[in-house]
Amino acid sequence: MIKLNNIVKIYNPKKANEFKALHEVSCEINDGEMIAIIGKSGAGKSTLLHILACIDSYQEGEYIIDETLVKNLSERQYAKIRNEKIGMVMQDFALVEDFTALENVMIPLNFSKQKIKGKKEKALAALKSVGIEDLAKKPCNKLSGGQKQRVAIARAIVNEPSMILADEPTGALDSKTSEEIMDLFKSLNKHGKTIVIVTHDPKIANQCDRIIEISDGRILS
Amino acid sequence: MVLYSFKLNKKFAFTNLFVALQLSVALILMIITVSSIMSRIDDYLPLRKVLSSQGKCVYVSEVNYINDTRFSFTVEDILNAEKNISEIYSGYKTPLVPSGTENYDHSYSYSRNMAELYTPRMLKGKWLDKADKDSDVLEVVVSDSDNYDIGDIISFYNLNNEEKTYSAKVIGILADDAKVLGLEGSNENVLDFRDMYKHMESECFFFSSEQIEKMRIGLTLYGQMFVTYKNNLNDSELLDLNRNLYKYGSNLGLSDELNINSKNYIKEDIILIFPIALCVLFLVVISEVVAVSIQTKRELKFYAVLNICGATKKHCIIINLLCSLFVSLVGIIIAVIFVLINYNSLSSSFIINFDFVQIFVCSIIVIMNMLLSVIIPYKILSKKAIIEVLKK
Repeated sequence: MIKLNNIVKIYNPKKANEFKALHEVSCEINDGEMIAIIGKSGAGKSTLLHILACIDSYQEGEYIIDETLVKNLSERQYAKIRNEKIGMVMQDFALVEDFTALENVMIPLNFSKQKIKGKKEKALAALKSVGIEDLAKKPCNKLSGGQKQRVAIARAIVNEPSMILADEPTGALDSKTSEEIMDLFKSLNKHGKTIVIVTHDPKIANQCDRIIEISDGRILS
Repeated sequence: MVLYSFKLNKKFAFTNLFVALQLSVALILMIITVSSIMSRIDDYLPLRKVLSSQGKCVYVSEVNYINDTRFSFTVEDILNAEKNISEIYSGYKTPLVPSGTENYDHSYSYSRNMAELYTPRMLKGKWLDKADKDSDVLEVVVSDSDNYDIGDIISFYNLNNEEKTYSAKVIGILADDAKVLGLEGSNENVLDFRDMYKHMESECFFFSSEQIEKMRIGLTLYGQMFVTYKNNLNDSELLDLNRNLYKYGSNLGLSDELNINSKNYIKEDIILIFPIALCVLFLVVISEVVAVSIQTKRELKFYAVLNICGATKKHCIIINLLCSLFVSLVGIIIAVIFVLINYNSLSSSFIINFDFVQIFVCSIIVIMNMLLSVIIPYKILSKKAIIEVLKK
């Protein structure tokens, strides 16, 4: 269960170019939901997603994930949440291009605080679940866009997080590949994963259980 | 993290090899510099107490003539005559000759305080300062490692009484390149502490003067004798003493002439070589800073990806540290191999030793290099937000 209570995000606070990106944003995301956050460019969708992903901070309000208040934590605590509770999928895939698909998927396992046996097997299982087990040893700079995004999704799920956050996951893909990726997300959602997708594409948004529309840093619906 | 540092090293192999080469040059240069300075200091230090004192370095010829009268002096004679002398450090000629030879003039003795002042480089065994003054067996240190070993018994006869023979047990053997103190042939051209030492070119034997005196073999003052004065002498007493010491041999001032020259000689090295070494070190540091900065900035996305997967800045710093450790090890290996291959040609032109001081200085350089590889990425990563990097 994820709760956002009156989140305020200000860029460059107390400076001449101070900008309030989020204005008292509140919402709840239940376990197992597939949510789309939609809005125009600059509306604050990615800002909200980055706060959910614990890669950006906020000035006011509360962000609670699984009854843990995520505020003013140490770097180690944030890193632990990112590693254990969240899987991140980015528009430009955010892969280490020189690494193979398998090496990329193993990154969260290598930084887990828990002792994990059979890291390689777990990573291969994640690649299999996204249908590209045979590409495990291929360097990512040799993969297509769709294949790269599948690797990114495999990396996002390998540590079995409760929530997957995707920032414009189909933004760099063609329509056919976009459909395949969305099918993958729907499949993961059916298996109980909470999925939050930021998109400006209504077609993508309509495939989700619920749509949160954001405009000028405020939630409209 | 070892895997990630290895991959980074592989990716930046050319740059890192360049940094390693520079580091190896810096290490070699530092070793040569420090060895040169330390070798000067090492020879100065045993004489420091003496050279800093008021007194004289008296070259005592075997026989002195005053008004056509032949005199030979003992240390006791001098101490009895001159009450303002604090201590005398002396060497002697000893009339012992190995049996069956005519190797005269190759036996020497040292007073205990002279033996304690400086220990030559030993190949085996111990020096005369460890000789047992109560021993009934004469103990000898030899300069020749080919014919003698520790524990050997050498038979000597007394040049002044050939019927008298003595057995001496070898307790030490000097190294081939060993220098001994105070047996320099004259006071001419003696400028500083270096001129107090001498390489013995032929087979020589060294005894403790206490044992020689105990066995009543015979001693003659020889070489450079260091005479230090008591403290707080007034000008008149100093003048008298300085004048009187000319009776015993030609002499040079300890604390004024010889000490000043000695210190200037050591400073020469520091003033000349050290700045060059520091410049090279500075260049190495700059290179490391540039290389690490470029590497970190080029790999910001890599670190950002690690970050979103649960890595902290600390993990990223450790990866950099491991990279730097590997580069430093390569630099050290290159330096070691280079020195080993070129040891003969290097050691003919430079002094190269590898003691605690050299290891300490090299460790500081390596640690400094590694610290830079940690501090710079930390500064860069602290300034960059993950999102900014991932968006680019």
